[in-house]
Amino acid sequence: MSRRYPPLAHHFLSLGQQYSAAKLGMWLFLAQEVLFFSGLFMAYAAFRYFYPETFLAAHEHLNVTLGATNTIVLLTSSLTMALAVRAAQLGQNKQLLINLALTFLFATTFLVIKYFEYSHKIHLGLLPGKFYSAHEHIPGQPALFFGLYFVMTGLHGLHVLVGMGVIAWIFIRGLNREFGPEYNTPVEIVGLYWHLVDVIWIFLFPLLYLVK
Amino acid sequence: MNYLTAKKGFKSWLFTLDHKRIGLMYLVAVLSFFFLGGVFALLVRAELWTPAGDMFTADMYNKFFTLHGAIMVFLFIIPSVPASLGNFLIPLMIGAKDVAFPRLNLLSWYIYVLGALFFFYTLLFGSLDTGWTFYTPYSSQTGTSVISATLGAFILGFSSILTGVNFIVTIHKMRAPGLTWGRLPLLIWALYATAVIQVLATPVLAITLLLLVVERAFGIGFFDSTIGGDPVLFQHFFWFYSHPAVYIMILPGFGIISELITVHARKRIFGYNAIAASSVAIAVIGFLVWGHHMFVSGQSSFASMVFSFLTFAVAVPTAIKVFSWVATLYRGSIAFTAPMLYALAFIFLFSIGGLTGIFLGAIAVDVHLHDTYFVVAHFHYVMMGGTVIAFIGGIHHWWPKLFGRMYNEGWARLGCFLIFIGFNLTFFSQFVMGSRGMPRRYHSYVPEYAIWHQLSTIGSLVLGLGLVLTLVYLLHSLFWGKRAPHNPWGGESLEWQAATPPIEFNFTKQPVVTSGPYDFPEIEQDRS
Amino acid sequence: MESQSEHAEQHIAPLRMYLIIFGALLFLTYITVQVSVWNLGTVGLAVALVVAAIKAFLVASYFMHLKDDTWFNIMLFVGSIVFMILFFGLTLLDLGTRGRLNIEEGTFYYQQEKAWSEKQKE
Repeated sequence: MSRRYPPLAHHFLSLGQQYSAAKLGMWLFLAQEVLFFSGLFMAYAAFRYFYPETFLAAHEHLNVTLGATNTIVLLTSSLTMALAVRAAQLGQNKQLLINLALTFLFATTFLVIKYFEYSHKIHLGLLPGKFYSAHEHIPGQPALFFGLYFVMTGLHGLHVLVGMGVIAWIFIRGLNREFGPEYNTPVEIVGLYWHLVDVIWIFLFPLLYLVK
Repeated sequence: MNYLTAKKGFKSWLFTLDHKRIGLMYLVAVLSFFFLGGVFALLVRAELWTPAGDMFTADMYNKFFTLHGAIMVFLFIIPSVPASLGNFLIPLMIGAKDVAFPRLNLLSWYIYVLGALFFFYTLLFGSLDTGWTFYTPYSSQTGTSVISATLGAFILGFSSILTGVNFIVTIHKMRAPGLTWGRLPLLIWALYATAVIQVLATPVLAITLLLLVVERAFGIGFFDSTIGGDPVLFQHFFWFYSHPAVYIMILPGFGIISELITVHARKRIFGYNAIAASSVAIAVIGFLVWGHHMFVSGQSSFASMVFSFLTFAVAVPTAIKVFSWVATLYRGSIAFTAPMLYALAFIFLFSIGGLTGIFLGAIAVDVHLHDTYFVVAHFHYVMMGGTVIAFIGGIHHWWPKLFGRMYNEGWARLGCFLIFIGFNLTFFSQFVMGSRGMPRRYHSYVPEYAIWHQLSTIGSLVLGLGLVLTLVYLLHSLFWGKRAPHNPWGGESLEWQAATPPIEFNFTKQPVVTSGPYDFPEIEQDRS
Repeated sequence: MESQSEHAEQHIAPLRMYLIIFGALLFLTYITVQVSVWNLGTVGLAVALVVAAIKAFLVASYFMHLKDDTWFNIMLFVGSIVFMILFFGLTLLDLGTRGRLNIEEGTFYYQQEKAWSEKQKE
């Protein structure tokens, strides 16, 4: 059985139509992701407005070095993802696979660093909401700050995990040599998602770690 | 060989990628939930026959009105028109073979089913008594199954978002040659504006519900004032979605009315550009008015003033539509078919609903009317007198196209009449008692309201009868109805060029559009 | 008709562009951390947000190829941010003005403000 390549779905009239439909679809999904996270940023704004002293004191317990490292890790993963897309556009399958693997690796690094940050906090009792049990006194409402911290980074981390899943899927398809100059839409679409995950962290980092 | 008969067997439906079949599966699902929600409504109305809370306990009553609201909002009305008629008609109306992402479409349906299962779980284990609005702090603390219900609504939200994505891409990228934006049927404009709201507003509901879940499960406390959270913040989050959500509910109804009036009065729409633009304007302005649900919540007076002003603004594009429809009817060749009767009922009922919304948008008035039956009557006039009436009208109008059968016109008119009378009896009395102080969500009341409640309950029975009658003759027509002609109403939009019912891939050859959707050939347009 | 004859427009940017943008992003990250060390309060927050916005702009325009994309996709992304800001703005309008209207005195918002600021001067 021979499969038509590049693959064109039956309801589309041309590859161009299919490609631009896919991109518009992903941008719409990204728009809703922005609004999804906006609720958390809104909660952040509200509580920072109400309890500035809490934010000032509590963030000292966040490790800026690890946060900055994670920022660089994600930015680098964005670079390798963009290079992966470029490789697919140029038909360089080996480069595509290397860059996808690197992106996956950086994503893993990000989650590992987060794991260390989380366990440190759990150890100190700096937990969200009703689980807050820190010994050190933080003025205001520290349980709220850590609630924000865990929910925001947790939800972001979940998106990183999902991203890793789709990157792995694209990697497998890349092994099958499915992508090239005539057809690389899935790589580009996954890339768009991954870049948004990066952009969200670009805002999370200063807001959570660099409060002054 | 049409889309219904092309492939046979359960699996051909459960794994279909055909937007028409998916639309039908949604239609069956939403109508089933409509009737389930209606049962809870009848239980509520039964209790309210007498002033004393003697039929059910207060707790039981809370569960009934909550489930009525939650089922009606999340499982029925939000998906109703877009997922059923929208899915079926959009590709046909734009001359495409399917929506942009057929597999995503099927996924949306399965996500909907999953959300519904969460609601069934809630129904069976613990129920829900927070009101459909889930306000904190009660919802963070009550012992009922809030988590399963909110997760259900969260999941349903994603079904809505993905449908919205699909529709926007379909309308942008898959129009037939010659089908410019200015030649699109107004139903498409309406569904497009609706899809924009679905994509931008629903994620905020999603995060709100997620935060409520973590509040209950982990005591995160964003809405818990004992640890510095703010319950009013929940309301901001909730209504940021839920106000635009009411435009998700009504905009498709507006689109249907534009189609019904033009075809059944056989006249070009008055003010096409105004109606199209007003759909987009409503979608945008609708995002800016949510605080009008919060005038008495502790929201600042200054913010309330701003929201009140913006609320008056959103009425303007809505009114433009109503005037345009009436102007379309003027000197039209009006046929009093069931779809036209529903369209006329819509204009009357929605105008009442919309105007009373303006009353409620005035802060000084709202302070007295908030949480009374006036509000209940207002939103039932717009949601039921508006969307549901339009939906039923649309079902009648496109019934021949969907199934290749004609329903019985005599029974249809009777059904419309019963629904209209029953509806007004049920809800007009609620305006009266609400303005006289009858609070909502109360299962007992002082005897002076008894007569109004009894009128309302009688009305609900008439309404229920009308709806059941409508369902019965529609189902009857599926098996014993006259075979529908190709284009029974003489519509000029593309869906009427497809076979009746359409073949699996809609058109045998790619349609090319050379005229507008309301260019009825034989009418001499009066140019004076 | 865009739906019929659109070709897959793929601008393939030179490798150098990606590396330059990456360098800029790293540099901006360094700036953000440095500014925070200087402890500037509200100004620091503003700077942090502006820098983050610039970084996001670079990622969106170059890595996500928005600058070569259709006008609609650009508007869509910008639009989602606009709606987010509207959400923040109107909610903060409420949060920031609670308790400003003194119900007992029956004065309006701005009169109250004026009276209060006059009192401050005394």
